[in-house]
Amino acid sequence: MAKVWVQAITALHYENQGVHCTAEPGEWVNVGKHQARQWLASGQAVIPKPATRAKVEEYGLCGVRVRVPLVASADWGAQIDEDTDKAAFGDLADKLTFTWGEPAITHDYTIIWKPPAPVIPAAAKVGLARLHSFEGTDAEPWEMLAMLASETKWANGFGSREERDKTEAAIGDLRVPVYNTALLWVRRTERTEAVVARWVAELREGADERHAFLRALYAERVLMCTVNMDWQRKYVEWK
Amino acid sequence: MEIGVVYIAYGHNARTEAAHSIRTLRRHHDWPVTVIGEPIPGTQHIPWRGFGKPGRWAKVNLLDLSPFEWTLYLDADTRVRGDLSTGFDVLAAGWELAMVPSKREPRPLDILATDEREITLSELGDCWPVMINSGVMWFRRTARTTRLWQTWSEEWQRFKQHDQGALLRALNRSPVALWLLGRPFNGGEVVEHLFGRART
Repeated sequence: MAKVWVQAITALHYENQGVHCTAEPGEWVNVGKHQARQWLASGQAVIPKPATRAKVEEYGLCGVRVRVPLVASADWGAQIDEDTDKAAFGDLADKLTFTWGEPAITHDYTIIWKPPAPVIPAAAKVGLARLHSFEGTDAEPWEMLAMLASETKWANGFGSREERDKTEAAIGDLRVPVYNTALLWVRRTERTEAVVARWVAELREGADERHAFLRALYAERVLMCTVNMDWQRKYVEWK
Repeated sequence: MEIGVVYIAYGHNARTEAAHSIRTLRRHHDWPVTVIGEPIPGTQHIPWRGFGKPGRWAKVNLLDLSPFEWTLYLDADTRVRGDLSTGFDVLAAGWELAMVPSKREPRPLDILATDEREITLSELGDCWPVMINSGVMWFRRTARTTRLWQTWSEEWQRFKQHDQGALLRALNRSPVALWLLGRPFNGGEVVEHLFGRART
């Protein structure tokens, strides 16, 4: 028989495989539907509305900052192709405002994107949603969301000796995960503004962007939601 | 700032493993050690009545139970092989919680039962969350971590099984300033983790 999870409002007495059990108020109990209906009808139990997934309330507050090179380099074309950039976001493109330039938080909720890093529109939408509040809670939501650059290599495995030394001086231990900075989801707050300001200042000086981002992040202590390095691809596969 | 180390131990296996772990800890640090659950000689003891799976129930109430302002929690089946002060340095830098991501499983949230896995993935809106291992945690008491632990306790009571699925759901509802450390600190050269050895 299918069972239902209910939460006790009053003490609940029931049998589980011949054993008499008691659930105290607040506890969750998994019982048959008939028992659950009785308790629900009498007000002894409730099925609370589950924490709903956060969602994007207003796309007018969301934008994409498409990064252009701060310093010209051979592997990054100088031409801006607005149509191609927007097309990468699929049906989200019509909802989001696009700007081009160095990394910046242009909207309350900004995706900072360095083409040609792949973008899966569905994952882009979920990333934005994760920066929004759950209904029924006043907890501060995540300020940033970023994918890991690797799940087996740490900061001591990336970048030049100079960059690693600089990061070690800043954060103390290089045995930490590194973030993929080609695609970042950012909610505008004082802390995230400070992270991006620090990061851009170092980028202008030619710093390794992954190490510079770690140093900036550590200094500002943002609420960072970390996702797997292939989060977007896995999102598509498992949807 | 009072710092210390907390273990949770219920049952003979867990006490034995925790005692081993504490011996290895002592080779590197002289921080005070508190054990929640059943006593281990040479440590402070906090008796606490279990509920459901007692070790997990204690873990999701750890913030209230720890006597320290800044706490390092270690699973009983860990072995300390190096310097653990990094985590406290992270707290000193202003972060609220330092933990280590788990190694990738063959499928998302593999350790969870089917119903909890499906509900967790649905609520996170995420098809393959980073699983964060709760066997090694540095934390300090703040408004956000207080809220996180309250939420973690509520979430764990929904299924009363593993604590890590509940932690993911709790973090999603009550984010904190979480700094991730690499696997050397949980399952590597600094903290070896003999997963499952403490269970009865």
